[in-house]
Amino acid sequence: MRELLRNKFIVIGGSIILIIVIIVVFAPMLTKYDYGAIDLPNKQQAPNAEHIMGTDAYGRDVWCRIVYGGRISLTVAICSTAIAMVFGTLLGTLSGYISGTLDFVLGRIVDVMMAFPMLLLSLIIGIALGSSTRNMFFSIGIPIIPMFYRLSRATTMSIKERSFVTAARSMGSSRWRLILRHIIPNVLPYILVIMSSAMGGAILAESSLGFLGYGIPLPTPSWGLIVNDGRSFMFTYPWTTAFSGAFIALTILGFNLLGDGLRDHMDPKIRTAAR
Amino acid sequence: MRNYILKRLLFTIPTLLGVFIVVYIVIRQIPGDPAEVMLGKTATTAQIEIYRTAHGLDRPAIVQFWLALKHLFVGDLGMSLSHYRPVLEVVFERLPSTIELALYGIVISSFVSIVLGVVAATFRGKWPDLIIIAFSTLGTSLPTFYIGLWVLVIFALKLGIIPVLSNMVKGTAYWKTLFGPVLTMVLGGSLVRTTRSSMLEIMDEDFIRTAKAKGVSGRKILFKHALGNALIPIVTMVGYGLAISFGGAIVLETVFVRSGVGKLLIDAIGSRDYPLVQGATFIIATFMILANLLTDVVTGIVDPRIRVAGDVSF
Repeated sequence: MRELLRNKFIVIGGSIILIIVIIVVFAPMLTKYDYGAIDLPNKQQAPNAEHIMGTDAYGRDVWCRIVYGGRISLTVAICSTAIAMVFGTLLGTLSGYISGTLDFVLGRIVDVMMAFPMLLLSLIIGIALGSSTRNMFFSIGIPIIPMFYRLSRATTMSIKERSFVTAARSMGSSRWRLILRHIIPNVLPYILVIMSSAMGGAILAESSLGFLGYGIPLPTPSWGLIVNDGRSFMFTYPWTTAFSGAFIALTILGFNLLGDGLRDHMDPKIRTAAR
Repeated sequence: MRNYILKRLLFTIPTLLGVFIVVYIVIRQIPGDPAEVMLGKTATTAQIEIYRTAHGLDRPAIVQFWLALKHLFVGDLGMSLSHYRPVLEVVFERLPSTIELALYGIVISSFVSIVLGVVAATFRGKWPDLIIIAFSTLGTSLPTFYIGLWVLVIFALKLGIIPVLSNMVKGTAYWKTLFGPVLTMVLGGSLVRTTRSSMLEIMDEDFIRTAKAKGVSGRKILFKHALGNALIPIVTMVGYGLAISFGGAIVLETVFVRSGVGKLLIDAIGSRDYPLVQGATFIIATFMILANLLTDVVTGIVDPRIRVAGDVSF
């Protein structure tokens, strides 16, 4: 743990994420407006004492919308990453351990998934499922599956040759027991490292979908949606887009730094090179 | 080498087929009757009937798929509902614009990234290094649309150097239509840190120490020995960057209102033109596969070790 805290990336990235999570969780205490309250006389105000991040085209408080929007965006990121992690890790571990036909078939499916740009795959899965928050978990999560699949497959293939696995096998452990008790616990640390990058990717996907106009339907303010709200007025009144985009960027930065730090920590070769 | 390329080419066929199957299935998951979905809201009952028989929608699913596949092999991806022309024709019309953007973007942004990466590695731990690292970390974390919007606000609105609607305005100088999106790609440059870390890794190798001990000049070591060897992972990243930029074009072309395949796709989704969505998606994925294939072949030529390793995994 002390070693973890010595890594600058982990400390900075972790702090950013922690602050954003605190802001989002304590949203009601940090805002004095309703995120949906329309106040047309006070629309498109520049940041001032009343509205620290100004108001949008309907006079809604932007700070308030961003803080509540973070709840939706972070929920989407967490759930879609969780979906990707569970399916990706499970299938990847099975694929790496059992190999043979299963490995071949899953490998080709993953090839196909990776032939799509991630955003495009999200888009078409999204239009097929229809837009709702729950469907968003899948449309963002499914394109991330290959990331977990490939890592857990590669890790499993190297772990299964190690002597403790052979020992467990020779003592008569069943295949499932081997996978669940011996392989997966050893794959998980690697998975946790890329989870941070996956979360950043999910936040990016959600906001990009929102920007393109295929985000979560109104009136729920997700970050992507707030950016899209401000986009039409970008040239005359850039504040809405500026602040919501900055929050998205900061969150992604936090996850990226954390991910980089964890990866450096796991891989001693990179660790020495980075210094 | 030829065998390797042939093998890789052969392996793209099932992937392409898989891509087609995925797009085909996904588009058919859209709620509603496929004939009505494919013909749009304005179709009459008679038109729907004709479409059903013509496309065999009254036949079993597997027969329908077989028909779609047969059409694919003769290059028929159906008719666009919003352009009233064959899908392939519409897509190919927009393709040059996207390829142009992807190529210019990747070449210029890679060049800038590599230069910055080498500078950072040379000044390891000193202030130029820290500044470059800070900016590139920030750049990779900023969403493309966010950088793009600011480029527009600054260069189109405040400075008036480029038009707001990139290649829609007639008589705009060629470089101006590309300036915005390419600058966005440069600012988002993800190669800086790859270059820096592979340079640093190489600089720690024994043969660099040997060269230093032999009294080879610092510049020669940097460019010939270190960069030459660091180039292999960099080339790989450039290639994958090219593949990704076909997807990135969706956002870039939307921000800068460039009439490329990405914008076409977004517009097609907006107007519920599903044959066009299907066609454009398939073409974008095909280009991504080809870019990845090209990357693997090039790295295979540059570094024979990869070629051998690649053979084993098949």
